[in-house]
Parts: sequence; structure tokens; C-alpha cells
Amino acid sequence: MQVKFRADHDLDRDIVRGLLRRKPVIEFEVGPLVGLDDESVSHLARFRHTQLSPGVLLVPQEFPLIRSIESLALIWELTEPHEWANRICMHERSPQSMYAAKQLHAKGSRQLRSLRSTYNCVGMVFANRRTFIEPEQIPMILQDDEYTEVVRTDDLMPGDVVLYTDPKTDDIKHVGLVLAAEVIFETKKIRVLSQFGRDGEYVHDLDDVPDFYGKMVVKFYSESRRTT
Amino acid sequence: MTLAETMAAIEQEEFAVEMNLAAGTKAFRRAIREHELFHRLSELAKENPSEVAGRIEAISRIEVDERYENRFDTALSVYLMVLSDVAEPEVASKASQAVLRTPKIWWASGVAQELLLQPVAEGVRK
Repeated sequence: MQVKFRADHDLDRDIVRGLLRRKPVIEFEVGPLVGLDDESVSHLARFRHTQLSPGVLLVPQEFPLIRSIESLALIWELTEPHEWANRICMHERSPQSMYAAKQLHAKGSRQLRSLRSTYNCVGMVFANRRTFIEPEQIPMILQDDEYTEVVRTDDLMPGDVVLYTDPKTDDIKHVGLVLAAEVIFETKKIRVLSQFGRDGEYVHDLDDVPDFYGKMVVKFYSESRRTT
Repeated sequence: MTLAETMAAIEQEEFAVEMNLAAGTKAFRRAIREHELFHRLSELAKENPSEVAGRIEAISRIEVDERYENRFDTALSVYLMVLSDVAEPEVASKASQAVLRTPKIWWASGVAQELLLQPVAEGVRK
């Protein structure tokens, strides 16, 4: 399924014309526009936490026309509609930066999942990849959403949250999601999906995180098996 | 390693990639402060902080690719943190203002805002 675009009343119509000239098959709704003016766009942004909304792309007025067209064409070619749900997109790191990140991190049993950089590990786990959230907010999120600690690894299930904390300070250094927890030759093998800072998403073994994070202890939490 | 060579290393993609592993602001700044290049630049900048400030000013004028984050974002953060340690508050303040004029930055804008607010906060405490 391909991304479909809809313009608000401010969007330069030359962008729409240029994009459609380049890719005539793109669906780009441009009128009537009263249904999606600036106010509606900001409403979408405001309510993104409470209801499903399409992604919002902000194109600065001074942004060069050709770059706007190229960016939208790339989005249409390379992404899926679900990737944009509930997202407001600000700046992304450049492909060169993300390629350098991939060169550094995609090794051994780590599998690259995505090279997006508009969110961090906390945003991936707790905000559907929509934003950057400071790790200091995690204890409050766990409490508000009634997460419970999973003490025995035998009880782990896909979707459980794994917290990597500093053994000395207890600071949360990293967070991810349990993808699978299997017993292979009597050894528990736990695969985790996590966003390495702003360097992209990787599937990796529980302990196979970049050395950058230093020594860490792990704790697991589950939202699904509530005590109430 | 000279001051120019140290700054060149800090502006490399590899350094930014490493620092961007940080999960949050606190971890990002701690990682910078613990990095060898930060210590080296701090030592070298003690004698000539204006060279670091000049580099910030130069970077703030470089045209950026509007599609993406400024590739000097991490380097600017390092330079500001060094200046906050070794330079006169006035120099750090002017450098912070230049950083805030720089488009498409993320980490560096937080450092700059904090540096600009610091004297205000200290004034309140006095």
C-alpha cells in the first residue's frame, strides 16, 4: 500500500504539480481544502496521543521547491502509510549519518530494522516511534500505565519491556522490547528490538548492545499481565 | 594533536554516531564529558578559547541541507560545553547565541539555551 498525500491550504501548489509530473500515479488530494486547514492540522497534532491520525509533514515556506518534491517522492517510494501514523516529522539525520551508524552497529547477530532517527529508544517503546522522550520519564510511565516487573525470565513474553540500568546509579540507559524468549540447548535466548539512541532500530540479543552503554543490569516489565 | 585536528575529529561522522547512541540529554552530555576528545579540546582551548568560538561562528554560517539535521549538531554541543568550562561567560554567551541562530540543530540548542539561562539563574540565587 502506498502513502497518499493531502495538502493544507498553505502548501505551495507547485510542489503538488511538480510531484505529480514526476510521479503521476501518486494520490495527492488538494481540494476542496476547507476540511484540512492549518487549524485542523494543529488539531491532528494535539490529539495524536488520544486517537489515530495521519502523519503530518511540515514543509517550511522557504524550503526549496525541488527539495520538497524530491523529499515527498522519496517518502512515497520508500515508506508505508503505517510508518507515518500519529507522527509529526521534524528533522531527520542525513542518510550519510545513518549509513555511518549502520556501518558501526550492524554486526554479528544484530539485524538492522530501520534507520530512522526522529525518536529515541523510549519513544520507540512508549510512544509508537512518534517522538523523543527523556529516559527520566520512564518510571512515571511504568507507574501510570501499571506495568509490573517480570522477575523470572521464564515468564517473559514478546512485547515485554526490557530496561537497561546503570548498576551504580540506577539511571536508565536504554530500553527495548522483548521480541522472543526461547530455550535453545537449555540456554534462554532473548531477542530484543530497540532503537540505539538516534542511530536506528536493531534486533539483537539481550546483552548485545553497543559498548557505549557500559555495564548494565536488566529488568523486565509487562503491561499485559496486570495484577488487578 | 593540534586544536584544529581535535576539532576536525570532533566534526567527523563517527564521533556524532557514537554520541547519538545516548538515550537522552543527560547521557549525551555525560558521554561527551567522558570522551577523550572533549578532554583534549578542553586542554587546548584553555589557551585559545576564541578559536573554538570562531569555529562555532563559522559553522553557524554554513548552508545546511534543509531536509536533514545539521551535521555539526554534536560538534557544536561539544564546543559550547568546552567554552562553558574554559572561556569567559561573555564568550560562551555569544557562542550560544550563534548556535541558536544555526538551523536544524537538536542537542546543541539545549546546551545553548541552558548556557544563556545560567547567568540569569545564578543572578536569582544571589
